[in-house]
Amino acid sequence: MIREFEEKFGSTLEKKVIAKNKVLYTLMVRREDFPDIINYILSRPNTRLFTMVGMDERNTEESFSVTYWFLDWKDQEVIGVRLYVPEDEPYFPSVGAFHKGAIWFEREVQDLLGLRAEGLPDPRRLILPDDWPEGVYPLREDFQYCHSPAGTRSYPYKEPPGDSTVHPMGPYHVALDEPAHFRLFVRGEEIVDVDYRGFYSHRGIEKLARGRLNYNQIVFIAERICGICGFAHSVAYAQAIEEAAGIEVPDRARYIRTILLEIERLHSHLLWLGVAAHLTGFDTAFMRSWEIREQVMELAERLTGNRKTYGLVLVGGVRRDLLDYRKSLILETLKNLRREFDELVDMLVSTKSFVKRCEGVGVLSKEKAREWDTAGPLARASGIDYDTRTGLPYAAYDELSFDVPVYKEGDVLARALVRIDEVRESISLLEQAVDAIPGGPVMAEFNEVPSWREGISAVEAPRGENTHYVMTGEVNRIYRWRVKAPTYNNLQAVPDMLRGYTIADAPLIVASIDPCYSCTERVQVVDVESGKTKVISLGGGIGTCP
Amino acid sequence: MELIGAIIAPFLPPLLDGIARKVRAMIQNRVGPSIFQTWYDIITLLSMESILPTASLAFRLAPYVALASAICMALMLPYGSDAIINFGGDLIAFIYVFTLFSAALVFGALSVDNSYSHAGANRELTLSLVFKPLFAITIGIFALKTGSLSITEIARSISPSLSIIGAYLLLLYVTYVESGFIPYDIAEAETEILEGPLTEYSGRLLGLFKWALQIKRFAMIWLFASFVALPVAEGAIAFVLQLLVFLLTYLLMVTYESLNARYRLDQATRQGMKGIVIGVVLMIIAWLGW
Amino acid sequence: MPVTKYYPFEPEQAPPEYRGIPEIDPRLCVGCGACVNACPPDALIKIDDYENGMRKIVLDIGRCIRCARCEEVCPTGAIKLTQDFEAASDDRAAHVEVVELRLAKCRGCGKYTDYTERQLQKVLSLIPPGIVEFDRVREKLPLCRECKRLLTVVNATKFEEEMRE
Repeated sequence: MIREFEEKFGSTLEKKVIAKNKVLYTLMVRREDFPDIINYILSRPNTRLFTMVGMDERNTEESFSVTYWFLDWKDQEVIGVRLYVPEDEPYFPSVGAFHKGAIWFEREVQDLLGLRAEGLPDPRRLILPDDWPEGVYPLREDFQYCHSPAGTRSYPYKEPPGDSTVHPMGPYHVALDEPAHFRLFVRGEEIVDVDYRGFYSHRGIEKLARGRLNYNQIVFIAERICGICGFAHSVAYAQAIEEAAGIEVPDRARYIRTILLEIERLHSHLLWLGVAAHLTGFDTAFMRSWEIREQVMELAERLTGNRKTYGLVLVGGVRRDLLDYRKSLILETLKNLRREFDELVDMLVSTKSFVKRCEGVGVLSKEKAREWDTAGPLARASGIDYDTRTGLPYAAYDELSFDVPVYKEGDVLARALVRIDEVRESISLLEQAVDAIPGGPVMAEFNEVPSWREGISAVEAPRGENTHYVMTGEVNRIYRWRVKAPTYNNLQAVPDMLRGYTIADAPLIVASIDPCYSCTERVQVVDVESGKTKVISLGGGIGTCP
Repeated sequence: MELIGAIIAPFLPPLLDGIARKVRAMIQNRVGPSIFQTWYDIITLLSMESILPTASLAFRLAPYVALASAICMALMLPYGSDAIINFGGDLIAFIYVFTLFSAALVFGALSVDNSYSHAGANRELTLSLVFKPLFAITIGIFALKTGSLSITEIARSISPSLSIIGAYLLLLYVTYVESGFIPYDIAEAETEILEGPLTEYSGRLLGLFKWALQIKRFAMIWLFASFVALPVAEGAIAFVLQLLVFLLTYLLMVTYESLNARYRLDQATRQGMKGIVIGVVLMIIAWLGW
Repeated sequence: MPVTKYYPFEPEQAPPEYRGIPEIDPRLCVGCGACVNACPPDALIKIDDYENGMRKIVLDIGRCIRCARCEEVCPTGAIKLTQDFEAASDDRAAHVEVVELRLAKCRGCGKYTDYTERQLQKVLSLIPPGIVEFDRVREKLPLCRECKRLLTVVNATKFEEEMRE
């Protein structure tokens, strides 16, 4: 992809090579070429919008910058296209106008940096709470982390169409693990349209990392972005820094990271199976699934010291080695797991009432899935053959062999089957990795992380691709850290999946993308005292009005 | 003898619910709550104040109406050979009170301005429109064959025949559905519509509603047990047999419930419609004499 | 065999690898502050009182994320993570552990230096005794920064004069 792109556009762009298959192009002169360039990249068959980063570079380049990163997962290449946006004219042409997957990225950049995308179809606020004042942009360099401005405003929800009523699912709902507001417009039991308002768990992680933390301290914050896939985040971050600094991670460390990434995938998918069963009322499967999962949690505890926050990654390698007795623990757990998991799947698949609830429900077509740049099991259940482990290999995946399950139907049952197959693949991957793990050190020797370097890396978390972009700064600190979680893209596709189905299906459909709101909403700060009470009173009012 | 009913009907159901929870826990390999837990829950709820989201009288009266109808249903059933409320035609009254229960649930739900309650009311109405007629048809077959409209009379005079056997099976199905076991607890689904009609209730009113639901479940299964026990025994023996059949049926139903997911409304109503067709066919067979 | 248990009426034991609540052994701590530097959430902080010559290392297990970086970087093995995980208490002060150490007093000017007496002893115990004698290390300790710089200048001047003679 890079070569063809270079032939077509290379002459008008400034080129910077990040790594051997990742190149950044900056548009210095002809800004009107921008939509053509993006269109060209997206029109190729196997590309997706990887992530989009807005940066405040007024200290070094005297303007803001907006960078769109694209991934071609068959060629395994990453291209970035950067546009500089001056402060006095903070506008840039919108990609969301023709590619839906970019809409949230542009809304976020508008909220946090004040850069407006011209032609953006949905210009409402995405991240900032309703009462945040206008004109105050948290991610700009001149905004202090602890600053909490006051203000009042209310959020403009979409109007319900015609004869439908509003059925608010959220912000608090039994079926949701975290607050999220799906405003369902219903006619009887049928859902006609949906409006989504999220970012209630926004915590200001990117701004926090900008301040006073050094590289190794940020790894621990990265781990706590998510309560289920945290390890994937910390590995993605470490990989981004290692790429920026040119650090080569030793083989043994790569294998250990792979082993733990797969263990995380196991526990996440088992959790999801239980939750899906619970939402349809099938509590016995829920309890059984989590009982099986308990073995994985205990295994993780013996290997790393904690059931979920493994704390194993540092920039340059891992902290703990995989001692021999731990290897045999893994193999024993896997043997039991395989057997019990097969029994559980038999039980689920043979319970007709459960299968009937999942079949044909919440269908997402392949075109729509591509439009929204969905990732993970959601995309693979709709026929898109993309997995970051094969699309942009990292850790030890290019040395291990595994299949990527892809289904065509795009309904909840297909997503469940994708995850079930992935559990079996993970078990096989773990056995291979434990068998093939090489000797050697577990931490790379390196002197320093140089300043002003960029790195971009992705990891296949249980829900899809986690993309981390990093620009290193001075004195061992970060200048810009951009986290994109898979649920960021997947949530945008939910309204399309809900239309035409009933209220009874809504929780199951939302749960079938395996939403991780904490991953999605990581960025800026809200004053806990006043902000919280204001949001609750607004949310409470909306919840009790039909 | 039948006065035992006045004690069992209100006070046994919560204990049965506790046993059901323990059985479910054992199936799922857990320790589970104690069998008196439902009792503790109801007592706690009854001692708390209810927050009223609306000034409507229907909201406040609905739980009492539901409780009264459920107890009335239970008292119309035989304990031993007799029932406390027993008069010719009490079958019609039973169906009436049974429907009044669902009506109370629906009125309580519709009196609040909450789309979850309305969704729950909608579901309860739809299910009632399908399953109450099915129940009436099923009981009607028994009435037709025994020539009486009094429950106790019918129960005592059942004799086996083709249509009666079919009616028993249909009665088992309707009892299961109307008892609100998963896959049919659609109206009060917690994970989907936040408990539907019961969403806005709290404290004492909620406690009364939950108690009423449990008594109704008891009455349904006791009716089935009576139809099995009374044709073959009398007096105190009949009562003991009723109790045994009841417990066996209850435990089997609880076990079946643990192994199933909940149906969607349209799936349940479609099944119910098929049941009505079968019921009508059986009724024709009964009328023809078999 | 049920898989649930009557915790907390039945005790629960974490496996030996578990990263639990950290604990400082005051006999081993030298107050170097390596843990303070490494701690991501600032659960460990260092408070120096130069008037009274005391250093406090304050550990707040409410802020601690149990990452064990402090255990990794501690030179004496004073701070270790136990297998305890029950941190609930109705008194917030129960989460705070303080280790107080004396700062070394400069033999030149009498002000307090920015290192502790124990740090001094630890360093002296690490340097081979021959070097301690050869470099006349004990004469230079403890000194504050200004006095150390002054001593360097004085020694350098003396050395230059000796060379000239």
